[in-house]
Amino acid sequence: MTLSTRFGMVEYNEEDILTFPQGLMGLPAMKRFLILEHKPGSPFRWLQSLDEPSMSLLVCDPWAYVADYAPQLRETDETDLALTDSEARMILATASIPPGKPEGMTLNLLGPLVINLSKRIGKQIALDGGTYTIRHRVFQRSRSEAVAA
Amino acid sequence: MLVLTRKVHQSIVIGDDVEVVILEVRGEQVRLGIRAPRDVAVHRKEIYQQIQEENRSSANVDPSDIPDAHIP
Repeated sequence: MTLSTRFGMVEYNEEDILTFPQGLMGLPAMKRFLILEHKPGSPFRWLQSLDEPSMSLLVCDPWAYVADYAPQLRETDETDLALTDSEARMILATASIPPGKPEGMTLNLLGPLVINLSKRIGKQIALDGGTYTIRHRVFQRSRSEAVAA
Repeated sequence: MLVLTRKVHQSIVIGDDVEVVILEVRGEQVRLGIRAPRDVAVHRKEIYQQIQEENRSSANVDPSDIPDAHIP
């Protein structure tokens, strides 16, 4: 099968499809996605919507930048995703980058995407507690920015 | 907006399968218990709105702005 995306035509198979039964927060109509590589070896990927092919969210392996990230899933989330310890789980954070300013990149560590890779289902969760933020600044502010702020 | 008055341990039901229980009232804080089916997502509104904004913002990133590796 092929999909026309903002990156051009993408080939995919039925088994590549990830389903988010509840959709993403604020985007409930988008339930089926593909994960596309950004570049080989990069921690970044695109969560490409199948339902709305013009939509692709930039996502990142959070541990590439926050080595001690330790999201605590609620039991209900694990049930929803049919996650058991042995199950292959993947956790991704959406990444935002202000135009032209990669150093201003933030990761949403409070609302990660949790995916059961073997069952091909996923869910965006909101973590409890005050440990993580929605706009976690990944790179330290440069000196000039610190002065400006 | 429908307005109802409830006491602690009382609840309201929404439709057939959503129940909201008042668990505790302490000063300005109210603790609620929510029973809802699995396909009904329940979130704190301000968190939901901010995550929604981040989702949209992550869909607007220009691929050329993505860092290759760690920026020192």
